[in-house]
Amino acid sequence: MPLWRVIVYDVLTAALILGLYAVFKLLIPALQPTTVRPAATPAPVLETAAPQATEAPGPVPAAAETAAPEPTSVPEPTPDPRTPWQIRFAEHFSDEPVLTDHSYKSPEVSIEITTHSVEENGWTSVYHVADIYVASMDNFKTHTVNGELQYWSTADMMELDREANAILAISGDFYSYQQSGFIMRNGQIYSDKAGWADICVLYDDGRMATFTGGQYNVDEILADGAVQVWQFGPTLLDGEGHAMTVFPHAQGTVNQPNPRSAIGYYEPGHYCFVVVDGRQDEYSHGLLLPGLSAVFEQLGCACAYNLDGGGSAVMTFNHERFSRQSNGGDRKLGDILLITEEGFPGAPWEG
Amino acid sequence: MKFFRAILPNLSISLQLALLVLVILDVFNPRVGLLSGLPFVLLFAAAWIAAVATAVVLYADWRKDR
Repeated sequence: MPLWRVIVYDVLTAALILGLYAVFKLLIPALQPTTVRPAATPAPVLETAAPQATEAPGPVPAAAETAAPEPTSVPEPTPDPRTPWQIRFAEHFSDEPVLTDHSYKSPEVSIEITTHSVEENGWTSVYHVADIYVASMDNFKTHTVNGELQYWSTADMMELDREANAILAISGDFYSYQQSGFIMRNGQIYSDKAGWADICVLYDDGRMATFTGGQYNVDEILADGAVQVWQFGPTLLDGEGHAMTVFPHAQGTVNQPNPRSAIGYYEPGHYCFVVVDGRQDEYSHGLLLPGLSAVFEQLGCACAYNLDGGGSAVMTFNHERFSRQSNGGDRKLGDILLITEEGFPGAPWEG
Repeated sequence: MKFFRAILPNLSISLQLALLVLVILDVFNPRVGLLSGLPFVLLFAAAWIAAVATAVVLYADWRKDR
């Protein structure tokens, strides 16, 4: 048999082996229904503010009589219907919804988006920072394809945005391409095995924390009230809010200049979404991880976490793309992070 | 047995080629986890066994020819 034919048969056999591998590794798991379960700990109801006393009239004695005046009834103080975050961040909310091309304020949500540029290694990168205040965790959600957790499921960003009625949204951690680790969405557990990647946890009381890969306890995190767990990483800030400079769990192309999606946390009720445009050399090159970390340190975040970037990195606002996705928007996504409120109309959807 | 000895080197090459493709793909997208899980372990084991068997057969033939 001639040598060229032997080589062709070997390459074809290798392709056949890869095809069988893809069937067992990717196709069969994708066709099986994904087992999800709710977290054991139910989310507590966010309490409203303590009632503030209104004016209470005192007893009025009769002018000529000496009899002891009868006490009048003291009306019940009117409870303040605002949440603690609405009170704490009152100057950021507004009584009526106000929408501009880069901001939205309402009684429940405050979003302000600013665009910046930064130099790194001689390249310019453009990034968008969405400063977010929410009245409760009902306004900060994640959304997956059809609202389900299913391996290998993806959808267009605008489709996810519309399904969830997002005021603001960014790409997530592409959970649907991951088969293991610790991943959770809106209180539903997708996978609960501790993995090697750094994770970011959002708790039901609004706290956010990041954990180093392989150094966290799943049961403890669940017991502490986790409702969202993202697994991509790496963590961008250390325990004191300083930019990380070494990223041992970042592999492959994550370590190159890239478009980025990332989330930052200041305190319960106050967060930020950051999206870096990239792979568009005339406009924005993309950032390395140290550059992205430095952005969050400058923003003053208490913790920050890198999500899926590259072709996935995108920010939408008022049902329109706000950032410039590197591949023109062709990349479908597994999930998004979003800020929403009931009844948000936004821009009319053309379908 | 003769047929097995004949295809063993080709099988080893094909398995190693498949492994090489997976390693290269994993560099570009490690999140998919191509180099983890039972399918990869089985593929890696098959490639290892084929390589060792090929070496043993080759060594035996070499000894016979001496």
